[in-house]
Amino acid sequence: MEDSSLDPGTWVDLYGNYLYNFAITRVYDQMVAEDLVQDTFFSAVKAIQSFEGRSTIKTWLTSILKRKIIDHYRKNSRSKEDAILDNDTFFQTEGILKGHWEDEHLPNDWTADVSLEENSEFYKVLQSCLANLPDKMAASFTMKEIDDFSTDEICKELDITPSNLWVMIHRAKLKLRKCIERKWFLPDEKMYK
Amino acid sequence: MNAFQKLYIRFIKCFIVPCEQASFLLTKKEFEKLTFREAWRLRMHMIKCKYCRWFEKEDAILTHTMVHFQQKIDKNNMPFCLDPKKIEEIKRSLQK
Repeated sequence: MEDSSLDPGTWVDLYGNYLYNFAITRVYDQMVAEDLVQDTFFSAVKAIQSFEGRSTIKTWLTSILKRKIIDHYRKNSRSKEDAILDNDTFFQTEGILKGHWEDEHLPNDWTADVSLEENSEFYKVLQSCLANLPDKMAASFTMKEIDDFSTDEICKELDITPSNLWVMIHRAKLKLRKCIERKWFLPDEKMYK
Repeated sequence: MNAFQKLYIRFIKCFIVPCEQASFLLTKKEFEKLTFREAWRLRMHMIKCKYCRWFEKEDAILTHTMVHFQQKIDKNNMPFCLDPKKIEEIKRSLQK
C-alpha cells in the first residue's frame, strides 16, 4: 500500500495552513500568500517524481515555498527600483540638534509593557506595519531577521550593495517603530495622522 | 529645551556621534564588526543618550516578536488561518 502522505489530495488539509502561515509572515499580504501556497502545491504535484523521501513532505513543500517567496521578492524589487528613496526624515536636518531624533520619531520606553513578545494582537499590529513598508525594504528586513540569510545572499537576491542593505534595514526599523508606536501605544492620539 | 541643555549638547557633540549615526551603527553592528573608532563612539553615545538606548530595546522587542511567532508556527501554533474557500479552490485546481 502506498503511504497516504504521498497522496497530494491530503496535502492541502495537512499542510495548507502551515504553508500559509509560513508565507504570510514573510510577504505580509493575504492574496500574495494564498497564491504562493497554491503555486507551491501545483509545483509539488508536478514534481512529485523528484521527491525522494529523504525529507518529510512538509520539509519538501516548505523548501519549494521558500524558493517561491524569494522569487516573489526578486520580482518586486526589480519592478520598484527606487523603494530605497523614501523621503521620511527621522532626524533633525539643521540647527544645533542636527542629527538628533525628530520629536515625533523619538523612541520610547516600551519595556513598561511586558510580555509584548507573547501577545498575538501585538504581533498582528507588527504584521500590518511590515505590510506598509516598501517591498524591497520589507524583503530585506525579513530575510535578515526571520530567515537569517547572510549579507551576500540578500544582496545577491535583491541586487543591492551591502551598504545599501544596512541603510535600508535601518530605515525599515525606524519606520516600523514609528508605525508600532502610532498603532499600538498611542492609538487615540490626535497629533498622529 | 533650555539654554543649558543646548550648551550641553553642543559640548558632547564635540566627541560623540549624533543619534542618526549612532542608531545606524547599531544596525551595522548586526552585519559586521565595527571599527574601533565606531565602536567607541557608539558606546559613548549609548551611555549618554536614553533615546538610542530605547531604540535598541524597541528593535530587540520587534525582532524577538517576529522570531518568537516564527517558532510558534514551526510548532503548529498558527496565528493566521487560511481561508477555507481558498483551501477548496486549491483542492479543485489540483484535481484538474
